[in-house]
Amino acid sequence: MGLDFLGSGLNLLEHSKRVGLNQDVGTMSSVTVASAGSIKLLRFSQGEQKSKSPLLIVPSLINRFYILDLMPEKSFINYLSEHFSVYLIDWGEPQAQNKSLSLEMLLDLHMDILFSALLQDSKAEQAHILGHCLGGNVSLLWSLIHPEKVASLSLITTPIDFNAEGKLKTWAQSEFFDLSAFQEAYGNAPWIFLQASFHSMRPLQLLQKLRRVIPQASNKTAMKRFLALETWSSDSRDLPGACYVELIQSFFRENCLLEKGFCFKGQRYLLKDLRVPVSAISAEDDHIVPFAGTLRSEQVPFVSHFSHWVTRGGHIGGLLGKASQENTWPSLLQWLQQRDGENVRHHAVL
Amino acid sequence: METKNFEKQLEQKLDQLTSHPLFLNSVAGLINFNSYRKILSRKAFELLWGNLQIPLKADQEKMMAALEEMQLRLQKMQMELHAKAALKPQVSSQPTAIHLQSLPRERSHSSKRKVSNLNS
Repeated sequence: MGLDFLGSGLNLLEHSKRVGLNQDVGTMSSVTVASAGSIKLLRFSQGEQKSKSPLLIVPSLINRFYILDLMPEKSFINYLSEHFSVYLIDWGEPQAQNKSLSLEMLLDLHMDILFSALLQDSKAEQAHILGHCLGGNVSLLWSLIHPEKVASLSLITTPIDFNAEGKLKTWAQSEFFDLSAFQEAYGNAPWIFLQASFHSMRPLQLLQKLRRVIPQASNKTAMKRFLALETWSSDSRDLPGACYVELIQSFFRENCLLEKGFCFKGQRYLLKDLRVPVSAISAEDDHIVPFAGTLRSEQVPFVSHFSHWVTRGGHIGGLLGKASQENTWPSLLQWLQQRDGENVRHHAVL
Repeated sequence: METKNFEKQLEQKLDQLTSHPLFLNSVAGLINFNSYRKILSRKAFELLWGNLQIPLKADQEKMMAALEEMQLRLQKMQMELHAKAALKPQVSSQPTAIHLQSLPRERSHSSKRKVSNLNS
């Protein structure tokens, strides 16, 4: 038994050498349309306009965007780009001087510049926004501030109720942790610190993963998928210090979207005031964004269209799993196409 | 089967441990201690560097951040101007061009008149 295990282990190493860790990861070609500091707006679709309004993907602030284009056969971006003109915000690598970059500044300057560039490039008046994980929170805030520019909003495994039971909530709400000292000492929140926090949520996960994958060592497709996912999960980015402080303080400790409201240029924005059509995808076994903390219809009473799909799997598997690829992706696409057909303007309620 | 049961139990225990306030406070304490240590050592170096009249990394970062913000604000203004220009009706640009062409002639007439006035 032990020798079998060892044999499979050697096989795994052999395969990883043959496959190469960086192979087939984020292969879709893109063009940089505009940039604001180190943040870029990428266009994935070439040629003529495929939809009335383009689709802007806002990936997570912590991880690299290529999880949405992991491999050619598992590319969410590729799937969407067959029907929509797809644009994406690449958060880039925050520099030391970006430690004071807050969410308010990010929305006021970077998002504003890139969104205007998107509308100019696509010659459209509105865009559909699709936010993944924390990118969903940025998209949500943008839709609350500028509803007239947003055709629809889709949130994928995005945390909404930060008071929902979960380990991250327990950790973030620990008042003993001196946030301001952390920011002053480190500047940007180091990716290794964030990565360690995620790994500590399920300390045995690596062991369980290896136990699951080693018997499949001779299956090249499974190995390729495993290595691609591992490459991505160990390739994170720093989070601007001010954004990290805001995430912990305003979102985790004050639950700003549902309770206090997010403060932007002196005005408070609450989730309940959302007016644009919204859809959400949540994963049942998500340990990072607990299912109970994702969007609910009663939280958005004024939206004209609301759809919610629950997928099996965890934070990533919920989006990239086979079941999701076969059922949820087409459902979301259909929903987006329906919203694209309607030419409705959503105005801010003052 | 036994291994899985053991793993499940171990996972539960680890869950309890990592959610326990005592554990959380000690980890937070360690992070805080490290942060304070970093801040203190940096401040000591800054004092030394400052006395030697050498520009500090923090000052450079502040300057870079201010420059980047200014650049972004200008970029935003430029985008807004572009958007406003695109909204203006196209006919308005043509008369302006004609007006500009005719401007030197008018000026020459008026200057002649002024000269004649002076002569008279």
